[in-house]
Amino acid sequence: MNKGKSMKVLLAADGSKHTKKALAFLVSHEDLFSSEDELFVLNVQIQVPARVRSMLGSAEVAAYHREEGDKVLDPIKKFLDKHALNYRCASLVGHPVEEILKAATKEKSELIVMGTRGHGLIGRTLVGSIAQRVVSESDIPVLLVK
Amino acid sequence: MKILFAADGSSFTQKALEFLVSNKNMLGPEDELIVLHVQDAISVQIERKLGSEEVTAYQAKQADTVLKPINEFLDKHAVKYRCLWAAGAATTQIIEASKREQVQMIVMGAHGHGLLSQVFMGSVAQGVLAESEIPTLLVK
Repeated sequence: MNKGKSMKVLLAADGSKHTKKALAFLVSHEDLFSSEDELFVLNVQIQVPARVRSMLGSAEVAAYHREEGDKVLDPIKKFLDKHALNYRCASLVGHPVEEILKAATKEKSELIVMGTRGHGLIGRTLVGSIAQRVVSESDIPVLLVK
Repeated sequence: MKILFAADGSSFTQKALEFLVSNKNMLGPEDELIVLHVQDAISVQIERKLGSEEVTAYQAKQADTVLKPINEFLDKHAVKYRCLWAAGAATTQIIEASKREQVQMIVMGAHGHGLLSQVFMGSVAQGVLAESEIPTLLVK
């Protein structure tokens, strides 16, 4: 009954099991996300320490980040292609919280989707620090998937 | 999709409602919204003094002030919904209702009423995120 506009969604993907669950949730609810909506998948990688960078050389480091980004994004691309959804992917290097918020503004996203927790070793924390900071600093709604 | 919407009557309540109805299909004709408002429990001493009927009547009235504008808003947007209210700890009541109603997603404000809560995620939101197994949409 409700004829709203299509929605722009930003998915912050770190390749953890939460990313998979978030994707599965999005595609399994057509009422939440359909082929008319637009999904921007963003993978943010933490910068390699400067000392390591100067040791390996910037070409090597760039190749490493590219490889790591592909590792996260390739299965997502495959999954989204299979579901015939409208999406774009990007992978970049920087601080996850800042890059997620920046991308949401740039892409004019209306919703951020991310895992409550990422890869972190301290699996016991209730809500991951990145999710916490995105929720407190973002102006748009955040869907947290466990 | 069946969605549980935890409404505390703060400014986030209105924002969450607007977000839900403004996005295509999020609340289509086949979807159902369960609106839950949780009132603080009233201490046993006060309840004993006033009688539980009096207390329930008071809480129902308080809940009504939160739920009535929501009713009106959702009627206007032709959304299929039910309103419920409960008294007790907000986190527990929200989790229990989500299980009882078998919802697929919980929607709530990222912060509650408090001033300090503007900075951090609200304690109710934190509690719900920790205890619930289903996705939670936090609205700012």
